[in-house]
Amino acid sequence: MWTITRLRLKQDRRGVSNIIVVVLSLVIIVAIVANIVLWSYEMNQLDWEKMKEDTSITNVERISRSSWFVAQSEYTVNTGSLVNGTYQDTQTVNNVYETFQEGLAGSQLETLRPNAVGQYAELGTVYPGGTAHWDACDEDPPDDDASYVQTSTSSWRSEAYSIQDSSASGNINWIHVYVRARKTSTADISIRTLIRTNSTDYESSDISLTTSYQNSYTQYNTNPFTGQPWTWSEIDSLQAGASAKSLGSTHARMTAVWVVVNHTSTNYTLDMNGAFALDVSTYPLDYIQTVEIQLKYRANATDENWYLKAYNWTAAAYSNSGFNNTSGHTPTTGWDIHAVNLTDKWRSYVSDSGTIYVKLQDNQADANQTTIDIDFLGVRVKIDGTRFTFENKGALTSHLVSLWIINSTNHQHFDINVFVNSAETTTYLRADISLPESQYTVKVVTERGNTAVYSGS
Amino acid sequence: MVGSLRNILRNKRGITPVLSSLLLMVIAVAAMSIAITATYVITDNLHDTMGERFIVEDVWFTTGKISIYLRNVGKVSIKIAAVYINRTSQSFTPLELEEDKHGWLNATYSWSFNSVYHINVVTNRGTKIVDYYTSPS
Repeated sequence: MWTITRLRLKQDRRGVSNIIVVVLSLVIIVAIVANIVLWSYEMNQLDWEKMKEDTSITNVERISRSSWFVAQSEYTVNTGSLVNGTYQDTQTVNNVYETFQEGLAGSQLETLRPNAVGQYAELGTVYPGGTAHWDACDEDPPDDDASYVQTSTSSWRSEAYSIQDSSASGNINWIHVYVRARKTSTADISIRTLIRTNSTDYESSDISLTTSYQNSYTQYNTNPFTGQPWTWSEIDSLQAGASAKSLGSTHARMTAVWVVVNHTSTNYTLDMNGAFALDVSTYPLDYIQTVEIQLKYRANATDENWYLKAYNWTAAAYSNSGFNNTSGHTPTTGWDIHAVNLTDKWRSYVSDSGTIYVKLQDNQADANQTTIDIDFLGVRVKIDGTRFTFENKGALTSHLVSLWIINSTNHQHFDINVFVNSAETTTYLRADISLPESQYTVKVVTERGNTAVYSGS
Repeated sequence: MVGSLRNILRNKRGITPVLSSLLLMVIAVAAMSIAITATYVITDNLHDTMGERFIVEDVWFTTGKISIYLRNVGKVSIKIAAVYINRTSQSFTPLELEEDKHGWLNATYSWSFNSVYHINVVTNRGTKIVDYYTSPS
């Protein structure tokens, strides 16, 4: 049979090409139709999966505060020492604690400003008129042309004011006598710092002035009268000021005088800080209302207050300015809770990445070497957010892509990207979603097109 | 060369089978081209129509309009061709949604409070979603 067919085909070659064309075309048609059949299968599978999906919203609740963010690395102890425990002991309230002890305060600075008349008030002009000379030069920070004393003669004239008594103790390393002054015109004139101790005046060399205010100081490592290190009684009786003279219409104008005392304290203090990272992906900064810091601690002495401060990223310094509590907390020797709220000033204390540095320190160095136990130190944010709980009872993982908050006046849509595994429950927190006060409906839509609904009020 | 051409022209019995073969081939190719093209066109439309899926996520009755939030959950892009409210065609803002995209379809309509509306959204391939929606009271 095959031989006959082959012979026929050989004899009638015209038919072969036609058969090839027809067969090839049929193959193409079959391929196209098969594509449709497979596509149909795929879409049926999609519908089948959609039918098998079973996702629901089991709970929707308002969230006013985040969970606590705790230290994730050891605290930095600037003054004092870590006695026992680790930072992990401060992550939960469980009476397992980390212990710190105060250390010697070390080298410290104390600033003393004029507070009374002294030996001299010879500069001829004081502004505002009628102001005591010392009172025109005691501002912190200096107020420049708002109050000052000024030369009016071409001969040297002096100012010397009594200064505040010191509250520090320890060995005095040196003192700086500062004046802040400028000249009123272009002629070259100078000023000299002046101190008066043991009824003797000591002036610095000439300090050239410019037409802009500048701070100048003279350092005294020892009392020039005794040649010995300064004593605290000598500091308390010290007078500080300056001498200056005019040249033509160019006058020396002085707006501030102060003394800085550097001393090594023999008292004890504690200064420690830790880093806390807010989860800004869950709690975006735009939706944070404020930040709260809470400390659970125990001190073995009640003679001084303890302060919580935070690093102010704007001022580049630790501060508690703007906190709801700036007076610290007095311990009881038992476990105490000290909590502060950063009010609406919180943003200065949180970096764009959500980092906040928290400092714990005592009021000032004192003679007692206090030990404190820290059971908990944490930071949390106050928000007006919502927590959703989704449950997947289906056999397939659900991908939630759309969330609706609907009430009588508004239909809010949010894109979400939440996966809920089969037979699992997932909570989803949004700091930027505030639930309506009245009756509301929450809808969530899956990628496959199913919708789950929750009603609440 | 000229000699060969003369031979072919003289031997007229050989031309007919060639012509008939050529004719048959042209007819076969043309017929199958038409068949393939027709199959492709038909199945391509079918393919797109079969892959079309979209859902209504939300319907919001606002002053002078009914807004319908659509999500394309199919495998092809969709284009809304018509919106019928209570079986009457309504004007609407044009809306095309690529795969996995979503958006508002705003139909101009003066609705009444606490009424039931039959809303029918139809794509240009003929896929439709029909449902009843109650306006707020």
